[in-house]
Amino acid sequence: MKRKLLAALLAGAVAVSMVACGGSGSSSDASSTPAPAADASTGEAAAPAGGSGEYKIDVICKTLSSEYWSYIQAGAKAYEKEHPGVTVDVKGPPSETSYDEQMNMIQTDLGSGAYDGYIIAPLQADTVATLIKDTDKPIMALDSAINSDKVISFIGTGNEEAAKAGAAAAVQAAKDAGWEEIKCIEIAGVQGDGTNTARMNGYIAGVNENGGEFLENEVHYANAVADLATNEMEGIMSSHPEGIAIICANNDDMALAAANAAAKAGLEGYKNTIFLGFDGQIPAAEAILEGKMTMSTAQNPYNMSYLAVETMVKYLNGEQVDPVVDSGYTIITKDNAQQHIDTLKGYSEN
Amino acid sequence: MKKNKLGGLSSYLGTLGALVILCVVLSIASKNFLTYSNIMSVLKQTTFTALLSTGMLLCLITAGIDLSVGANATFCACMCGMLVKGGMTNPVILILIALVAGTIIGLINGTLLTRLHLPHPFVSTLGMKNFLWGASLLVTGSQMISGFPEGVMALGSATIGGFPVSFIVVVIIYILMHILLTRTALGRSIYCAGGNMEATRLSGIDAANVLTFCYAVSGFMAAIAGIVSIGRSGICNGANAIQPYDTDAIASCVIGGASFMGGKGTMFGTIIGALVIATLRNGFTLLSVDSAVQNMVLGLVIIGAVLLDVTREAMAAKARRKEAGAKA
Repeated sequence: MKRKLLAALLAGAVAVSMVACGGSGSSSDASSTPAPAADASTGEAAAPAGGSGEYKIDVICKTLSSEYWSYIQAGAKAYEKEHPGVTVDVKGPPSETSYDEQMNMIQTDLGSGAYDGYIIAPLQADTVATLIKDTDKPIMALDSAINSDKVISFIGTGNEEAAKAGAAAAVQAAKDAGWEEIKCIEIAGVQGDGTNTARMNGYIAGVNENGGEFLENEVHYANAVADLATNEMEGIMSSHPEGIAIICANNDDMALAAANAAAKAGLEGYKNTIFLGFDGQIPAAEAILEGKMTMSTAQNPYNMSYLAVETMVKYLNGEQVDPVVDSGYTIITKDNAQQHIDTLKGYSEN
Repeated sequence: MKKNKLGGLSSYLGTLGALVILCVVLSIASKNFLTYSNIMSVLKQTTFTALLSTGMLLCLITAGIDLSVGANATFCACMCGMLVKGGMTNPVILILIALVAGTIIGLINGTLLTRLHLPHPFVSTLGMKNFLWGASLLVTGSQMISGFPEGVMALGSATIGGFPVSFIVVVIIYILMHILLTRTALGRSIYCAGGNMEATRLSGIDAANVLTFCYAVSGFMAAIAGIVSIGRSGICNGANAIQPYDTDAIASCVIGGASFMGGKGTMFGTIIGALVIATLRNGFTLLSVDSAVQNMVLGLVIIGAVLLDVTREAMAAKARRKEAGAKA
């Protein structure tokens, strides 16, 4: 008898936890549009109404637990807010290595048929290509491209293009700072990683085409971590005591770490060095404002996801859309850092 | 004897009830839950955990544990990936090599425990997990590999009228394992080894071989899971080796009535456990629940299941005392 009681208790506990979750899920949605509420209560009434401009769009991110992806979420939700007919669900696995969970999410959502269109930022692009093989719903790639004929558009920024622009700006800044011989050394991320390669190619082109010299034989890999970047910077200072005009890095953490290492060493040759980062997140922008590092190239995740949802809605309305939609980039310097910080903080408040 | 069987049934009646209630709640909360294609998604997502859970259950019954199952599955997939990258296209050879690799890893786990007398397998299989993580990255050169031949992909991707072949394989394996556990001498030895090691030895059972067998089966099942994962994702990726697959497998077994103390657990309960986890995850996605909340709820379910295990244990002990008292 007691066992049965216990069994019922367990069942109840699971049920209660599920109800609790369902509640929190829809309450967060309900604040933005009335549509999701209908989803839970009226059932069939929420069926997708094709062609009428009322769409339900699924945005599956690489994760939701980082600053960058919170802007992606904010951008997609902002579109939803401005367009009452459009419902946007943004979801993502716990981390950027939760490959399996993202795969399950995509499979579940494709199978459910609950959405009119899917915007996917693939953790493993080839896996997503396999998963979407048989779908007849429109798919768009966000942030990273997916190599599949099912994908209608890719919405993102070319890492290479953005890095190239950052490097060009850095060369100009180095000239302004009085450097005559503009040499550039990169502190790179993870060897073999696609994003890292694209950014490096951009740096090489941007420096070399604008009258600088990118030292390709002296690329230092620091696995995208600040701690290792400090070590690498110390190495660079030992081998180039005369000073280097530009130190560029694959992300802000490493650029900032390198700049700190140089400041600590206090070498004359590195007083005017340009430290160029990538991402332009709030801590980096603050460091630029304080003069700790020089500049950073920022992709615009908020714009990216806003544009992605917009492109999807256009497509669903039967309009022609471009296969590649560039969401742009901004070079953050001391002049616009404060403005950039304010914009980013504004996103998270919405 | 009859009473005993009934007791076994009621022990997973609760889990079954939880699954049913879960399904009812989800059907009400989301109109997309109770559709054919979504149920098929759940089954597809159950397969991987269900396969790992078979081996895990055997280890748990012997009061052991195998924390290397997830990494082993990834390693087997990566072995295939390495060969595919090297130009091998024969699916039979690829599958055979994966199965052999997985089983050998399992055998090593078993040997470490029984012949080299390492203490609790928690430590040795955790070490194996790390080793396999590195090995997976090494054999693939830290790259994702795609382009597997159709024959290898079929197990994880083929469907019959929308019904996943991989789940049919799971059902067959579960039936076979159920027969092994309940109807054969080996099965009884496995339960026996988990109950009381010393008594097992005294009753003439070669405990070392029985244990090694359990870990080898665990490795074999991990290999099948690895092949299924290739079919599902179309790729292999060494970085997958540190995903918490083992926790899901353990949770499935424990939700299904297995105990860390050993000697308990059934195949039927375990598949229900695996279904509960897959259904929960599916429901989270359908309802767009924040991933942070998902982690919390899954954590609570695991804690709840262990709590249930402990409570069940205490109640069983009380019942035994009562029975003994009544007899005396």
